[in-house]
Amino acid sequence: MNIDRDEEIKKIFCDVLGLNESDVNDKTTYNSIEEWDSLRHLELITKYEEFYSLEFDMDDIIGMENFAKVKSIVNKYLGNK
Amino acid sequence: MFKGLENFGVGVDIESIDRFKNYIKPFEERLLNKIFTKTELNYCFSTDNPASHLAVRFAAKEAIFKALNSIKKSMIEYNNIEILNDEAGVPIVNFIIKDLRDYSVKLSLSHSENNAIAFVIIGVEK
Repeated sequence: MNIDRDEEIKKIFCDVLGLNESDVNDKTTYNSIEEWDSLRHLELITKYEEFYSLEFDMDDIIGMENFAKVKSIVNKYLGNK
Repeated sequence: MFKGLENFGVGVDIESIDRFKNYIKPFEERLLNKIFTKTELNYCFSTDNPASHLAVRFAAKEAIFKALNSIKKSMIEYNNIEILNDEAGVPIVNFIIKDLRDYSVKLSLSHSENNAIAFVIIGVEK
């Protein structure tokens, strides 16, 4: 696992959702916090796509239901980049 | 459950109009294109208040997802759903993908100064 990349993914996550990094862990779940609703989820997806120059499939966009899965799915697309 | 209701789904959603005031082209073009079709964007940005028109269309798409989910239909891309107005100004839904073209949709939209709301009923013949 690439720690630096995971930290980068977390920084983007927190920037978009307006959260402190200390408030986010792998169990932080979509719709369980006020800041992470459907519109913000799309902003997050767009930010990752722009930052890493990639495009997610719909199944993966839906699959990002907690922060652990966000990291896993973004890393899957990045592969060995 | 009344016989036949299993073929109907309902959904409702409310959105803050203020949140859409940030989505000014071209800075958020990628996000806008992920949610809306070109026809929708052309319409919304031709009005005096694009944010309220964007918000109510987003609410409609969210309500449609909820209605589809209630009849166990999986989610599709936002921009595969198009919210249009007929000649009388009544909102109608155009599904871009063939998979949903057998579904009938009734849609009602409204907004106040700050919020936009959508209510949807979806029916499918089985």
